[in-house]
This record gives sequence, C-alpha cells and structure tokens, in this order.
Amino acid sequence: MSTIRLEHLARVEGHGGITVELEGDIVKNVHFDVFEGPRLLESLIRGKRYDEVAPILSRICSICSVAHTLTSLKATENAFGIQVSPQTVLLRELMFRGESIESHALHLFLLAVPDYLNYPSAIAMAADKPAPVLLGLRLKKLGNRIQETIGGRAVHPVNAVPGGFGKAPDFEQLIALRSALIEGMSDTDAVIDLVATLPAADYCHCDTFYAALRSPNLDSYYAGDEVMVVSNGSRAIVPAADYRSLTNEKSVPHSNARHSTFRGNPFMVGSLARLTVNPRRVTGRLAVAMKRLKLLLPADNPMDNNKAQALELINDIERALEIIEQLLRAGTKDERALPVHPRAGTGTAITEAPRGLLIHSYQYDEEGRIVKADVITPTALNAASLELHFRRAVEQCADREEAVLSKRLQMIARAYDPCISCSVHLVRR
Amino acid sequence: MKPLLIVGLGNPLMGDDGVGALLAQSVDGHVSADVLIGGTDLLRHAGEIEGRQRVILIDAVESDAPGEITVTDEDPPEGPPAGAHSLSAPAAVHLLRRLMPDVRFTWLLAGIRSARVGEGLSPELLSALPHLRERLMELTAP
Repeated sequence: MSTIRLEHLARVEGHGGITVELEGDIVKNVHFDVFEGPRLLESLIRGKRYDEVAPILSRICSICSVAHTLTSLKATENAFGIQVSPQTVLLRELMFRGESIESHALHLFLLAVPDYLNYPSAIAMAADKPAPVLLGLRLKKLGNRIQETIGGRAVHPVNAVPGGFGKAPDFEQLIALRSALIEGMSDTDAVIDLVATLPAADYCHCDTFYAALRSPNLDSYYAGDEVMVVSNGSRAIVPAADYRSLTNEKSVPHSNARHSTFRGNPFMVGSLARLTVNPRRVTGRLAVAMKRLKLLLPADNPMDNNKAQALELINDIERALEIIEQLLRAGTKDERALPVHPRAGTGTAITEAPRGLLIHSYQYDEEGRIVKADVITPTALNAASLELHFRRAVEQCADREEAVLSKRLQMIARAYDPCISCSVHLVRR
Repeated sequence: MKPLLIVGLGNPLMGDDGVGALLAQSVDGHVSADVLIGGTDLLRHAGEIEGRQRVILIDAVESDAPGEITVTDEDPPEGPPAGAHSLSAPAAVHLLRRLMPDVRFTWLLAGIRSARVGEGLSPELLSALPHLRERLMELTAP
C-alpha cells in the first residue's frame, strides 16, 4: 500500500488536506481531510435574543458575512412570521450580488488563475502578469462598495436588521453605485477574454448531482424556499423546511466537516450548480460568453466551476444594475424595519452564498431566545462531492506521480472554492 | 499625479492595534495628503493606491518598547497568512509593489506591547501619540 498525503491545501480558506491510498493500480481510499477545529457557534448562540443572532453568526465567515447575516435574518423572520417588504427583498438581493462579485473576483483571479498559468501564488504572478490581479482587485472593490453602501460596512453588515433595514440608501447613493457598476461592466469582457484563454484543465469527469436554490424568478440568491437537485435529466425538489432530507449529514472519521448526500449521492453546490439548476438565467451576453468559454450544461467536470464563476460575475453585475434601476424607477421609500413580535417556533432559510447553498435553521422560545440552531455551509455540503471528484481524478490519472496528482487534486479543490473554516460544525441532534 | 496617500492600518476594536487608524484620522485635513482608514484589508484599497507616487502606511508592531517609532521602506515580516481570503498588510504591500512598481511605500510603525479586545489606546500609547503624530507630520512635509 502506498500513500500520498497532501498535508495542507494551499490557497483555500482554512485547514484541510488530502490522503490517497493506493494498492498497486487500485485506488483504495481518497480522503478530504478537514482537521480545522469545530467552531461550535451554534452552541454559542443558545439563549441569545433574536436581534443578537445575525451579528454573531455573521462572524462565521468574513468573506460570506453578508450571506450569513441575511440568511440568519430570513430564518428568524420565518420563525416569527414576518414578511419583509419588496424593497427589503431587493436590497438584500443587491447585497448578495455585491458579496458574490467580491468573492468570485478574489477566488478566480487571485487563487485559481495562478494554477492555470503555473504560478505558485498571485504575488508570484503579479510581476509577470499583473492584468488578472488588477482586474480581480477592481472587481473585488466593486463588490465591497455595494456591501458598504447597502449594508453599512464592507464586512459584517450592520444595516440589515430583523424586519428590514436600519436605513434605506438614498437616491444619490444609488446613482453612485449605478455609475460604479456601469464602470464594472466594462471589465466583464476582460473577465471572459482571460478565462477563455486559460489552458484546459480536464482532470476528472463523472456524472454529478447539482443542488441550488429554485427561486421564483429563477435568478435570485435570496428569495426562494425550495432547493432543486438535478442529475442526468432527473430533478427533485426539497422545501427549505425539509432541508435535512437534502443534507442527511453524517460524521466521517477523517473530517470535522460532516458529509451530506441526497438519496445516497454526494452533490455539488455553487456557481456551476446554480447555472445547471436555473439554466434560464443564461441569456443574452451570458449565453454568448458561455459559448465562448465552451461550457456545456450539465457539466461533468468540476473545474468548470471556475468558468461558471466567471459567468456569474457578469450576471451579478447585470442583476445588480437591474435592481438599482428598479429601485430608482420606483423611488426608494424611507422604510423602517418592521416591528418584531417574538414567538415560539422554528424558522429555516436557504439562500445562495457565493460558494453555494447556505442553510440556517433556528428554534426560538416564546421570548425570542434561541433554543437550538443549525447552520450548514456550502463547503460542508460540498465535502462529499469534492471527495468523490478527488477519487475520480486519481482513478482517471494515468500518471500517478505524487507531483502530478498533487497539482491536479489541489486545482480541483480550489475550483470548488472551499471555505474550510466555515465547514466545520458539530451539533448533536 | 495623485497626492501623497496616508493609510492608517489596524483594527480600532483591538486596543493599541488601532493606533494606525487613530493617527491617520488625527492628521486628516492638516496635511496636504489624502487620508484613508485601511482597516485590516489593505487590498480593498488597491484602487486608491494606484497612480500615487508615495504611500505612507501606519501600522502597529509588537514591541517591548511601546510607542517606539520605526520608519522604513522595507516591508516588515509577513508572518503566517491569516487565510486565503485576506492578506496581511506586509503581504498585501508585497503584492502591490509588484503591481505598482512606481509607488514608493513607506511604513511608519508604532511599537505596541499587545493587542487586546476593546476600544481605545493604552496609557503608554496615548502618551506616545503626540510624538508619533509629529513624526508623521515630518514625513508628509514636501
């Protein structure tokens, strides 16, 4: 038996590794080792009041703090039967788009592209090829700006509260954001030009299950209460309240992130899953860009998640612009957050964080204090699928030299854009 | 050409670690320079840095001599990365130097004993503040 062990995955958030065990040509075991310590944030919020929950759980992740804040608020509002205003829904969607722009720009250009161009890091790449890094930084700033304007801060937003917003953006702020987004649009051709010229990366192919939010208008990261799972032409719908029938989490010895499977199958969440589940999003410029990137859906190559992120960068900027136009046309109302009347009950929310489905589910007592909480992040949902793709990559790799496998497996891991720190939760049920 | 840029780094919610932000704020409007509170994510401000001749970065550095001032164009050690989604300030400057070779980066480092959770500076740093400010004003003189 020979073992190949990658002690630490570089250029992904958090601490994880990969272990491959071979017996001759037979692949015995392939593990995605998540040794990041459990965070136990769900325990930390037991007994906390409803208005303390989102600010605490936002701290799970600084790159996805908007997603955690807004998913937390949505779960709390669901528990208390609060229906937020259409303006609030639009502003929350806008925040999601800002976060997605920031996250995808950072991942794609500073973490993933150096692999394709054979550089060990963005810093090493910057001297020879500054354009991708500068492009990524410009788009990251655009995403930050949306979050700052609507959420009050670039990280851990303070303006989104139970029932709505502390303060709605004014006309001038929206006009300024619109200008920044129009400027950002001019960068989207460069995004596609760059990604279209990256060398092909085909390290594993296999039928993949994809899961994503099924939103009413087929293009929302925030609105929607159903998940659709797609594979090989078959489709299944899971309501948010039944999320455990989607996740079926189980502990595995080598990982502090629990593994999720749907009807026994690992599934992938994130950009590629979103495009696969909601293909009607792909119209106009997006459809032309998709053709240029030679991305066919459903894809059988997890590396295509990088292409999907590039496409979503265009989609996010376009959608953010649409929302602002809509707000400008309607005129933003100086709404105050709706009053909150706590009651005992449970509330579950599912949204689309940049890395995929994010689930928050809470049980409250009659005073509006948390009795029980469950938070499942996209990287945790992806853990089993990532491990499956690692295995297929090893099986399909003719040259099992450690250096070759190491690079391939790390590129696959990075294509998933994992946030390992956020994936670790251990909650007893 | 854009004017000199002063960037105050650090987290004001971590006691003395926020000295950079406080110092930068204290000279805003009193020097012919743009002033920016950079927080803990310098890369977010790459756009503001691009096209400058010179950038002064004010940051806290662990030291046995609180208030000790170091002025240097050399980057301090990068230390272990905080995570893939954020670069330490020295690592970010390392990247920015490669992207923007015409920009001169100068560090004004203030020695602090330790960072702790909470707002406000320690008495040691408060008493060192006028001297730090004076040194910063000297650096910004044309």
